[in-house]
Amino acid sequence: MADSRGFRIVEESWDNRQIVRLVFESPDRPVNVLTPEVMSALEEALSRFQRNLPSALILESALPDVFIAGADIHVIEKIRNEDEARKLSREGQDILIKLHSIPCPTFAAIDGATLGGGLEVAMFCDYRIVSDNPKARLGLPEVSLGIIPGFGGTQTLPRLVGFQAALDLILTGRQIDGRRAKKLGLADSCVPRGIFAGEVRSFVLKHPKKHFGPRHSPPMFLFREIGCSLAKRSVLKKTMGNYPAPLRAIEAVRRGISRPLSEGLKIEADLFAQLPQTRESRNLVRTYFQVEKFKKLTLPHLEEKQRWAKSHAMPRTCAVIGAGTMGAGIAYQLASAGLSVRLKDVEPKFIQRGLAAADKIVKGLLKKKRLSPEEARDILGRILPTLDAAPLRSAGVVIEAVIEDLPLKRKVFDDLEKAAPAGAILATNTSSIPIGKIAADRELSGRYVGLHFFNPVDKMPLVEVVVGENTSDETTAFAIEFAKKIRKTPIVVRDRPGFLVNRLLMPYLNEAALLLSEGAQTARIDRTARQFGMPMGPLMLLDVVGLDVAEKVAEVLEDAYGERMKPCSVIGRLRKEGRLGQKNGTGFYTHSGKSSDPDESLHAAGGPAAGMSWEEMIDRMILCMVNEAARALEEGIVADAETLDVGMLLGTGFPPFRGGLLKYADDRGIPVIVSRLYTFSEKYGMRFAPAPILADMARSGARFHPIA
Amino acid sequence: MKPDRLAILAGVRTPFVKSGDVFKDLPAYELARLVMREVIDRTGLEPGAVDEVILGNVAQPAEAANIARVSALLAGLPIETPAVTVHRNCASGMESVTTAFERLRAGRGKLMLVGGTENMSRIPLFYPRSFTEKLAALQKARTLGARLGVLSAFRPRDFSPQIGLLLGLTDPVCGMGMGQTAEVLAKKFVLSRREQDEYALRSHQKAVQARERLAEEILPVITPDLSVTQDIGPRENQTLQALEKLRPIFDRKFGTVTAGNACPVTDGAAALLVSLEKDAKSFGVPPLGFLRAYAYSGCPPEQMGLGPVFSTARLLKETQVPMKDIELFEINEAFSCQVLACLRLFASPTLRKEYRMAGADLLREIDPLTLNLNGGAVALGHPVGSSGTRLILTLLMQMRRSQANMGLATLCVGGGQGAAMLLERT
Repeated sequence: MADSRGFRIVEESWDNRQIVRLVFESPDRPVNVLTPEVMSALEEALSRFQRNLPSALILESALPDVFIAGADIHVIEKIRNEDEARKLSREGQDILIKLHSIPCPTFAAIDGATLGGGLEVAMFCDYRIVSDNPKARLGLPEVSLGIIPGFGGTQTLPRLVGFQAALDLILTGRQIDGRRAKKLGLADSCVPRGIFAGEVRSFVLKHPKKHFGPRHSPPMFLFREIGCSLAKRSVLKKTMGNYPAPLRAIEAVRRGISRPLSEGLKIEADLFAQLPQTRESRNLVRTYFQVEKFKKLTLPHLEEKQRWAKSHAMPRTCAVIGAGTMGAGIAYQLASAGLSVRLKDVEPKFIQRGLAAADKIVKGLLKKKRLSPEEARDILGRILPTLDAAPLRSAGVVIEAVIEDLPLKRKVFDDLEKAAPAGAILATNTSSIPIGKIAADRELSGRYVGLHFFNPVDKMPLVEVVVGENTSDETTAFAIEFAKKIRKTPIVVRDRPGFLVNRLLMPYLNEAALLLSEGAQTARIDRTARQFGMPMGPLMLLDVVGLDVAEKVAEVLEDAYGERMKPCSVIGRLRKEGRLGQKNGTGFYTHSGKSSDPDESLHAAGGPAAGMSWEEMIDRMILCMVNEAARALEEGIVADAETLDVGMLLGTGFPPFRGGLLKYADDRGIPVIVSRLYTFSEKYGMRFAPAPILADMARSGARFHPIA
Repeated sequence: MKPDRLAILAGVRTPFVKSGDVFKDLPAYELARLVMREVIDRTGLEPGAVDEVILGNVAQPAEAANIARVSALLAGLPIETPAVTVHRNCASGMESVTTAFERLRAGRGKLMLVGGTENMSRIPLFYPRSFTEKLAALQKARTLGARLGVLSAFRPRDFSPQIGLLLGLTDPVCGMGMGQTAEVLAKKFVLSRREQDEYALRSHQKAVQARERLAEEILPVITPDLSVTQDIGPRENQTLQALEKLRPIFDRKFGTVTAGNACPVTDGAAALLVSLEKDAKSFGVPPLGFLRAYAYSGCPPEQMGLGPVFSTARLLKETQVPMKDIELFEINEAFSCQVLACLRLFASPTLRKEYRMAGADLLREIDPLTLNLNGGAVALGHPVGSSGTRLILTLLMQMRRSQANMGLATLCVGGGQGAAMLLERT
């Protein structure tokens, strides 16, 4: 009898012992979630068990692959102030304390995802039995939403696995499988999935008593203080102080661990209460939902075609043409998603380099134990090189990733049209050449589409699906589904030079180079951007991308959009001097091994930007992106502000705690931005002249995003 | 009604590489995996269309029991597709083809992936039995005293290994190594050292000239560490003088067989996609050619090199095809003297008399200009499990180039057998 409580109660007799099974299920949701209704039903049920005590209480799930996926994020989203937050946390803790202190032994039988609040529930049980189901992953991902565990997780986890391991799990939000959970002490037993039910039964029967008290004694004072201060330092280094949640989490663990549990819980609730209503948490929750939506992207007008593509058109074999950095990365990505890949290039030595690059990615994952040796072998085995076009006959999709040269690309596709089977999708990874030009005057132009990946392909989650003028709806629908299949997040963009991400990013990179040429120091420019929250400084990013590539993209953009995109002369100069960036060891930085040092000879000593304020520098870099974003949105490069924000988030690592580029613009206030841009245009040049649409918005009080 | 022929839809092989060279880190199943996937990809057929995988292999590596299955799964064939490894010594790569032929004729499927693979670099050394027994005794010994007792029983000779490769190349029935059976033929047919060396030189010259043609059947093997696009064996600058300098290896005193006029120990794999002629159309792939008939035949183990003559005679008798209709020949070159002995026997009814051979009267002399046009195993190498498949593939490709309609691929088999395949282009 399923009901809206979120669980049903099954009473059974095992060897003459009265057992109560609390089976979580959710008829109207895909996963079990701890909504306020579920929590209060749980409280009510626990009161009933108090009065009529069973000899054991087992928490389990009726859903395959999910135990409890966490608390309800929508509830967290609605919290308005500290009091509400504290109340939510305290009430939840009180209910779980009831579970903890019920006089019969309690068991969590975990055969699926157990995250956040779900794990907190399990940790208040006396015992946890986990299956070796690979989907049975345990973790506390709260910090990634800008909050900390509020149902006791910061207190119970260190008491189960020790303080160091708990900090690691809470601060990274990392999810672990059953075997690892057993090793850490988070689970009491890890059993094979097939015999899970039987093993749970015999475990329950073998453990008739409660298991009170921590499994780990608190660390010594000195050890705790040193550990926490090291953790704090590493968090600050990584986040540049932009994310309050990890610091609160360390605080909660540090202060609670040596006190009685009840006091620890109070500390946790007080710290938790400071977070949900912060701008950071709001934005992190917002971007979380946005990204989840785009991971499953369905365009209303393509719904039917996407469904068909997903079920009928996904290929077994793909081909990647060109084994350079991008080609190799794409080949790896396809292979890791289980597709067979033919990697084609014209010379064995290019292919060897590409294979070595894929090899390096896989070896890295192997070392981190993210892959088993067999999985690693299979992924690499799926990439089969070829010098000849004949085996492309099996490829359902071909992705061209040769150098950015239109005649060469045209030639490649002339051959591909002959070699690939009828019906194959012809995709290009071009970053700057319009699909329209590649597909111009072709009978099959409807099958052409851009699949623009970002470097490094294995790490960057975004793919721009570039829809050319003649690209058919079927092809677009296929491309969206294909991107999802290879575990990338697609955004659909129009076929204009630079598409979305490069077009917006280039002015930012260019502005950084201009700052350098005006006297700001390399390290300072990059630190400014990182303090803003960018994952990497712009000059470092130019080095990583390669100055030759950057110059080419910049030229294409200047051609297309004119004066405002004029590349800073430093970039071209470095390229001419053969300083291509990381790939040959020298660019804005000198790279050797893992260390990179700014090349101080590039500093224009005494230039006007030498003492420029942080605000001035960051606004120059970020607001020119906002300005270009307004234009791109007006031109319909992407459908809406949300798509643009997700694209920049996943394509450039725009700081998620700021909620997205245009969300940031809304938060700063469009009129403020426009007036800054006017000032800049007078001071630094017309490239800052606000886009007419932006000026209009400032006048009319419009925003990019509707007010939530 | 004309009996069904076996259509060879597509085929490819790895380069052949001398053992101990660049393929030493690529196990036989890895080599097989590459050609299996390539041959499927080239046809554009779904792997699921393959009804069975049959692979020839001689050394049968201990770490990959039923190597056909291991290779098939690694090549991405569906788990439902069964796979079997076959072994007819040097003819294993033909056995896979003829086994498929019979199964298809029996109605067991429509499409089969066949071939052969061998990595002779990786054939292990074995401990002697005395070592194994003493080791077992050591594990059983419970007390320290007993252990010391067993340990003291070990002798240096217990540690001297037996070489798996040599064991495999020795016929336990006649007690001779393959090289020694070649020496038997050289002496029996009075084949001079010079004659053999000249034959070997010609094999290299033909193989070198055929580089581009051979490339059509080769899948380059490229990994981060190596890139092999062609056979390693054929030597551009091979000279008679260099061959003459080599010392005989199997009979130091009276012998004529040297490392130069015998085939090198080799690693490589080959694969074909086959179906019956009547089903071939449904796959939409124009066949390379057809296997019309085949014959295996026994012969004296100590003269195993004559196998091609015995099996060809039987084939001709069974098919009643006149030998003069056969336009191109491939005889596997295990040893130069062995091919020369076969040629003598094909040409001479007098010499044939001694052997009781059904169909001997149908044999005719073979024109050297129709034989092994692209060189043979002396130059290319002889990965024992794969050569049979390669001969079929190489001959079919050459028949297309030469516009020849009928060809014969034949090979001698250690232990005293011959295999002969009658191929047709249209």
